[in-house]
Amino acid sequence: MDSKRLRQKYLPMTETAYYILLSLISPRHGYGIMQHVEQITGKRIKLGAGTVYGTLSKMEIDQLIVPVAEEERRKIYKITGIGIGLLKLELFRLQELVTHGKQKMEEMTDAGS
Amino acid sequence: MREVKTAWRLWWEWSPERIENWLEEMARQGWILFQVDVASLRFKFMRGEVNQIRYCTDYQENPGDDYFKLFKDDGWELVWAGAFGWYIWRKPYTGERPAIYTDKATMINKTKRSIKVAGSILLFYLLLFMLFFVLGPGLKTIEDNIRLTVSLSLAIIPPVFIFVQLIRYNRKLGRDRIRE
Repeated sequence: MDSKRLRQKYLPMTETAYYILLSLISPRHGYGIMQHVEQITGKRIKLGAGTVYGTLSKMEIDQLIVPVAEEERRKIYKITGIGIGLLKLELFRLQELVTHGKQKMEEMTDAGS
Repeated sequence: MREVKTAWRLWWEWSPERIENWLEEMARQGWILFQVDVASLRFKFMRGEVNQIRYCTDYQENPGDDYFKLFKDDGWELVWAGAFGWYIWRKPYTGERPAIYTDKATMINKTKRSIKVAGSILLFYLLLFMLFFVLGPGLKTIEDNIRLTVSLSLAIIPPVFIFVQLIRYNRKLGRDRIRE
């Protein structure tokens, strides 16, 4: 799949896809991802097993991630260059959202005081 | 002697919560599912302890070993693996009710795969239908022709119904997705 179609398919990213890709900067299996995401978000995001399995399958087909090992029938994945590229684009987008949000909030506070 | 209860249920992919909630309610009354058969329509329960159990249905075509391992790692027990890629999972819980799907995108993708299967079946029916009209009925009496036309027309209702309902369900999921 060319990069334009991948961008259309994955951006803007869902929280699920974002955190799964982020977790795979270190090699992890599906359940490892679920535990990691729950931990770093302070239990705010609990990913379902079906959601993780479905997303990993889709991302593997699109080569955002690649299986690197197998451990007791658990597939261990790692992010690829394509995945990192998409993650960076999403991070850039999120940064823009935060910058604009903060600006407007400050303007509002300044006007109020 | 163990106490067994049998119940029949017709269930559809586009309303999973109906079958899932019913199975959960049965567990709340102490009826634990142990078998599903007769084209996934007959459910058999055993008298057990009253328990809070979440049931989830899933559809996967040829899932790998890692599918089963992932669900088991997350505490799900496989209750039933039916024909055509249908699975029923369960997990006892207290507090927050668990789910196997926590996003809409994966559910939409899953339904898309079912729509493809339903679409192929529908296409097959339509081809049969066309074949019948193109080749001509070739039956002797008008009554026979009418009978065949009526049966073919009736036969096409279920695949059309399933196909249309699945598409409606995926549209609904798509509308909800904005909140994700």
